[in-house]
Amino acid sequence: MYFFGGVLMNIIVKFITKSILEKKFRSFIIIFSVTISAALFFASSALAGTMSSMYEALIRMQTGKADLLIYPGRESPSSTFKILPNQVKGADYIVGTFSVGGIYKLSEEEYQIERKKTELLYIKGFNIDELEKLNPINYGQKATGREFSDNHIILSEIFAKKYDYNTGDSIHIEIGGVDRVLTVWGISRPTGVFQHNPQSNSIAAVMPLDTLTSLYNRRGWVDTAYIVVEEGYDILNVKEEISTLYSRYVVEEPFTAEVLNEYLQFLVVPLYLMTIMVLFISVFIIYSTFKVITTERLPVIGTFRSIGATRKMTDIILIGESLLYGIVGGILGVLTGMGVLYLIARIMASDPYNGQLDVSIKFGLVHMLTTFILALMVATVSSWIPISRASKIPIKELVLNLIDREIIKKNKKVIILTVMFAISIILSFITQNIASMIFNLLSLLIIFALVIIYIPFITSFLLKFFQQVYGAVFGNEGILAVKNLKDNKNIYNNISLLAIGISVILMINIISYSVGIEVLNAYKDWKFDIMLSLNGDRNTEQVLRSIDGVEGTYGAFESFQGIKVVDTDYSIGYMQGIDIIKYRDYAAFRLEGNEDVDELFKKLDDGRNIMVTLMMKDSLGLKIGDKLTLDMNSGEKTYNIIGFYDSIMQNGSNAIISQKYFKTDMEQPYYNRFFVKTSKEPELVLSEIKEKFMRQGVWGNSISNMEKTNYEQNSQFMIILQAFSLLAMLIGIFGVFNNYMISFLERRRYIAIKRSIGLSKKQTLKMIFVEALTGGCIGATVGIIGAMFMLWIVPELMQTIGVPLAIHYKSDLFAASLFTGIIISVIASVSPALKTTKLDIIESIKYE
Amino acid sequence: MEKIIEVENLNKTYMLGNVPVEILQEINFTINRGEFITIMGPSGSGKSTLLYLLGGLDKPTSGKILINNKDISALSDEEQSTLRRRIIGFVFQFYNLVPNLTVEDNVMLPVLLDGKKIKDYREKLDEILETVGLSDRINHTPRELSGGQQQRVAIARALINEPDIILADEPTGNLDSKSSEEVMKLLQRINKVKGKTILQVSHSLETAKYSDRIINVRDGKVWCNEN
Repeated sequence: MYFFGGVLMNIIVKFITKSILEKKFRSFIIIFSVTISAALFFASSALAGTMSSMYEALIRMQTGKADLLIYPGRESPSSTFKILPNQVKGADYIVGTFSVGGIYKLSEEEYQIERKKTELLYIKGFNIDELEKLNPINYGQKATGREFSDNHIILSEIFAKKYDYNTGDSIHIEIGGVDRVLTVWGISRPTGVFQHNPQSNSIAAVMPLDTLTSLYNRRGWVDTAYIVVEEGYDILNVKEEISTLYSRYVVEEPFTAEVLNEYLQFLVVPLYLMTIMVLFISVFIIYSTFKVITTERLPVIGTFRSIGATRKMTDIILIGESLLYGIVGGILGVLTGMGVLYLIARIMASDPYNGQLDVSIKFGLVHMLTTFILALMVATVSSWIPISRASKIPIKELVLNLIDREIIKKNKKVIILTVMFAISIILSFITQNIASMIFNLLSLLIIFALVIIYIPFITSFLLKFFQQVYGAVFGNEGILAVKNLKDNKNIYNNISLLAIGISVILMINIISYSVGIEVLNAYKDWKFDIMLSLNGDRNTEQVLRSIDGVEGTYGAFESFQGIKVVDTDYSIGYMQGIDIIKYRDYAAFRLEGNEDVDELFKKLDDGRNIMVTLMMKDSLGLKIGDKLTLDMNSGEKTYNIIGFYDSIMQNGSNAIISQKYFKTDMEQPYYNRFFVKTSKEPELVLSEIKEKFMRQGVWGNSISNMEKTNYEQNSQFMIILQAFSLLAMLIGIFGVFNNYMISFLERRRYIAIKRSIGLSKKQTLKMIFVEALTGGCIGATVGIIGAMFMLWIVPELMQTIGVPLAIHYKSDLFAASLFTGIIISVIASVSPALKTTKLDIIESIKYE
Repeated sequence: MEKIIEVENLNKTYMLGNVPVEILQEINFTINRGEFITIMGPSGSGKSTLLYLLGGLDKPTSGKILINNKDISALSDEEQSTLRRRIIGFVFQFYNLVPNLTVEDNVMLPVLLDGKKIKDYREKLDEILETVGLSDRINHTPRELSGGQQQRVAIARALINEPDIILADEPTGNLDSKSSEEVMKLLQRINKVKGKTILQVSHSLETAKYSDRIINVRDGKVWCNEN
């Protein structure tokens, strides 16, 4: 019996393999769908770890092997400290550093090239041996025979190449207001402590710690200490001990995975969403393809059963095929996923804010296993319903080929899904955070299912309209085409695939467009040309105003530290203390409601009154008159809400109070930013400002540059989402091609019948073309409707992860979607149409 | 009597792999307008092949088929399609109706294919459905009809464009005796009253008795051609 079972299994395996190889295109589509779904899942699941690892590497460039940092905070008695001699258990070694700004004055020749008068240097003082241990320098050039001491300096290659310096050269640098003559001891490649941030104004350099601290009479003092923890010791325990020793200083890890992972949610959640959509399309394709496969296999299964095979054995034939697809797709999916992950990492590695990250992908066995299991599940679950239906058919019906092609009434499914959709929408609005996100996701998936279920109804409705028009436009062949489309399940499948694919692509394109518009609008809110990070007072403002090209200035009191709203989990990301007279000359303000803005602004000065954004209002369920207790630098202070306004700054987490109360409550007596209006080219004016304030060190950027950088960063990510949506569409396109072939095979006989009663080849082509055109139109139209529904939900979903998104529409995108649907449908019908014209009428007419 | 079909030295050979199989050899006969002919012969004799060649559904290897003095084997696809719409009506053993179209739509198919307006054929449709006894089933689909009813729809479809010739391949092959009798009586009526030339392929002497003449085909040759 075992031998017989083994032989039978052998036959079954041969049968499955032969069947798969016989229908190569169909097998390819299933494997392709499983592979792509698995690959995108792999990339989405491993992305957080990969990006986290890449950013960690970037941060560790600066901090080297350090596991902990010590530096002065707001509460610290001084901006420098001494490294205590106490031995901390678990601390392997401590490296101290002292950093200052240096100014390199360009020569006349250099000025002509660089168009600026000075170059800022960020000079870090290190003991060279300690630095080599902590974060070794990657030398391009290095002095030999001389110790690194006294007036030596190591320059960055970026600086050295720019100004043509080599080892041994003398260089004049102003440090602490005094011109110093230093000797170039080495030139480092821009890695490690010499890593260059594109947003930074200054270039790194290193001098001996003793020399640098002596210049400032701080010999023996440091402003930052790096601690390397011994292997086997818990970092947190060591951190606790060190915090006790340096109780008035900040002790923390250089890199916290939690903070980064929170930021990465903005990337990962949308990618998961796209992966789910791709999965849905794959499941649909595999399900509809397996319906055809099981129908094909029925006669053979009947034969097997009639000669003694059990139901279990014949089930293996069907399940075995889907498992095989899952296994092959899973393996290919994991390998492809690595490639996709690498590509995404490469795109995201060009961070316009943080510089170029080193690309290195990170994944574990768990990612590979879960991806493989997902692939198996996609293949088997998608095929389960057709297989289980086929499995239940009685042996007599199989053998006598009495299987009835039932027309399934879909009304019940429509009602159930519509009700589910309504419920999940309602729940998404009334729940918060994770629950709201889940219901929003569920709603999106239900939209896909509804698209498929509603297609027959929508198609029937639209066909009535087309039938009226086609007689005039396409003649009787058009009318015939419309009749062919009614109740044609393969055409419905095609329309569904087109609809889903187009809805996903259109949704992503509109989101991409909206993000671009929002970036534009956000920066339009700023009615000035330059933003400066500069601590100062009215005197500083006077100096600014004296610079040629400065037309107006506004001193801003701002906090980005995240002010906690007491008794909630919410922190206000951006708090402004405003000048109630000047503020609106420099920033747009859109108040909700009809109250007088001037009056409201006056109220800000009258007491601890606050206005918050509409997003904050929704997040915290606030209304006018509510009290907000804020954890500010001077302690907890209670503010009264007097109004709400529209703003997406800091993703909508921002608020305004009077500058009077900001200064006292945040213990910040000086402006920390300046907004500058210019009468000349902003870049030129900025250059003058940096020149004027070079000793203080000022960060500044033009608004147009900031907008460009922001746009670049968003574009990178939108490219990835668009690529995902294109893959979804590609799977859909293959599905459409396959369905047209299946449709051709299934309709072959009926086309032959029509040929036998006078349908010519030309008429056949015309009829099929009109069918394809109509199917494409309907698919695209339903896709557009589906996208509109999804765009209704997506902003709500994005809000649950803290990303405000207002949707903007562009008519070109809709037109392009319609056009795409038609083109895909028509192109997919070309091959079957040509096959139809070569039909052997007699062979095809014979009863099957 | 006016000749409507002339077959001259007709040969048809199929290739089975590399092996040529002669299905029809040197077939010669004529059919006059208004005749009711039955082509009979054992299985594999080539009778159905002969019928399909006469209908332009297949091309002869050599020889001529003249319908209304026109050699149909030399016609283009467009011309042959026109022939099948206007001159010839086909009735098949398994009816070959389009399952998701109503009786009306199935019958009107040749009209649609001929580029004509359906409204111009309403009266004709009613008349034909009256003739075949299916006026009350106009909005039914083939799934809702019996075998005999489906075959009558197929006959109605064959008549809608007023063709000169009806070709029927085993029209009662899939019907019970009662339905077979109904269908054969209908075909006879169409022949006698409307003057249509009818060629049917059949195994059954029962159905052959409705015809004027029997052409016997055996081993690809006309063996006997008698009244």
